[in-house]
Amino acid sequence: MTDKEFDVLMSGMAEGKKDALKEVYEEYIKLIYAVIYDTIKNREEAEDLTADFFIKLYEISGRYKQGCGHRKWLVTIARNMAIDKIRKLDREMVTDEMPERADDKDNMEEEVLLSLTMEQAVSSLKDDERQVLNMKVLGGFTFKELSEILAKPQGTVSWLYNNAIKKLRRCKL
Amino acid sequence: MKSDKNINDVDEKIINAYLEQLDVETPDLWEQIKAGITTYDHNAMKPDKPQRKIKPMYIISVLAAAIAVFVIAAPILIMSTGKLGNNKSSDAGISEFAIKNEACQDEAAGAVMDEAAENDKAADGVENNDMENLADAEPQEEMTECEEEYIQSDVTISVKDVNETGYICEVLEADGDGQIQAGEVITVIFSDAPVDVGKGDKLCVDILSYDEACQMWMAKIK
Repeated sequence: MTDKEFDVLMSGMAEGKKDALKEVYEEYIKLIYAVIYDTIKNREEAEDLTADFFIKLYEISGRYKQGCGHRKWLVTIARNMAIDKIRKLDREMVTDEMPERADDKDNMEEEVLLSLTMEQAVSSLKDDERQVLNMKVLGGFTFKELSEILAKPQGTVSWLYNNAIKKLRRCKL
Repeated sequence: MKSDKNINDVDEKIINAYLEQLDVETPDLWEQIKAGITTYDHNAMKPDKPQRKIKPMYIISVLAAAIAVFVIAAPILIMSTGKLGNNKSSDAGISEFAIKNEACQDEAAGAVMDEAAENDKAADGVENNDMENLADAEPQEEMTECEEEYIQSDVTISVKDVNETGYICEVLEADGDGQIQAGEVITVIFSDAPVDVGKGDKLCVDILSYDEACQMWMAKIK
């Protein structure tokens, strides 16, 4: 989605058009959920916060300044919301959350069988590797943009991404 | 740049498989979001909903003010209606009111004037009072004091005694609605002085005013 297309949809939202939000939702739900989940590391909280994110987006659509790199803007808001939530909950980030994700999908029979190996590969990713990978693949950000968003050196971001890719290459397809 | 090149080198299959994995993991939150935005309406910020809330408050306050005015004004209206009912001549309304003013002014000296002179002075008094009302509030209080004095017509009295203060009289007949009632014993001084009134005389008088300090009635013989 280009900035122009996004601007049009935001204007639509400001006029109360829910279809406009639906389009943005369909385009960015994966990215926003991944960003929030990678920050907050709790499935239920991440789901609630993702829903809150899109509701907030709808509410602030009237105040959106057009033409200012919407993907970066979206991701920054999502991350800030997640960080605020962590502060609110006053708890430390859970580092070993991946097995819980696998447990959650026990009932997804076929998908689990097909993606099991990928799931294992994904579970081997470190938090920051997964975060960079998600933002790169889903958000299409450059390493420079990622380094700005995540407040990490560009070299570190690049190195985390390459590590993540290496780990995924080991899975059987 | 080197890293960016590596992205292109990554097997598309791996990326696609990873995206599929993310598809599975990503929840469908649209219904939840839809419910959330239903409660928020952009247009709801603009319309006159708050005005609807204010309107009943406005009506209540106006009603309360109206009731308060009625409670304060009703007794005054009732009293003034009673007073007017006792006045037989409507033309005399202003002049009698003025006479009362005069009586107030002159009662200490006990001055007696004829009706014409009183009416003239009355007119002046009314004008003066109007001017004074515009100037300050104090004269208004004087007016109120005089307004409170009572006038009653056609009171038949019998002189029981005469002393230094005035004539002690028994009221034989009086308007039932008036302040002076038949059977009462009152002290009276006459505005038509000098008068040839003695003990045992029966008179029909108009009561002009009441002197609270001396506790006596100013009366005019008919």
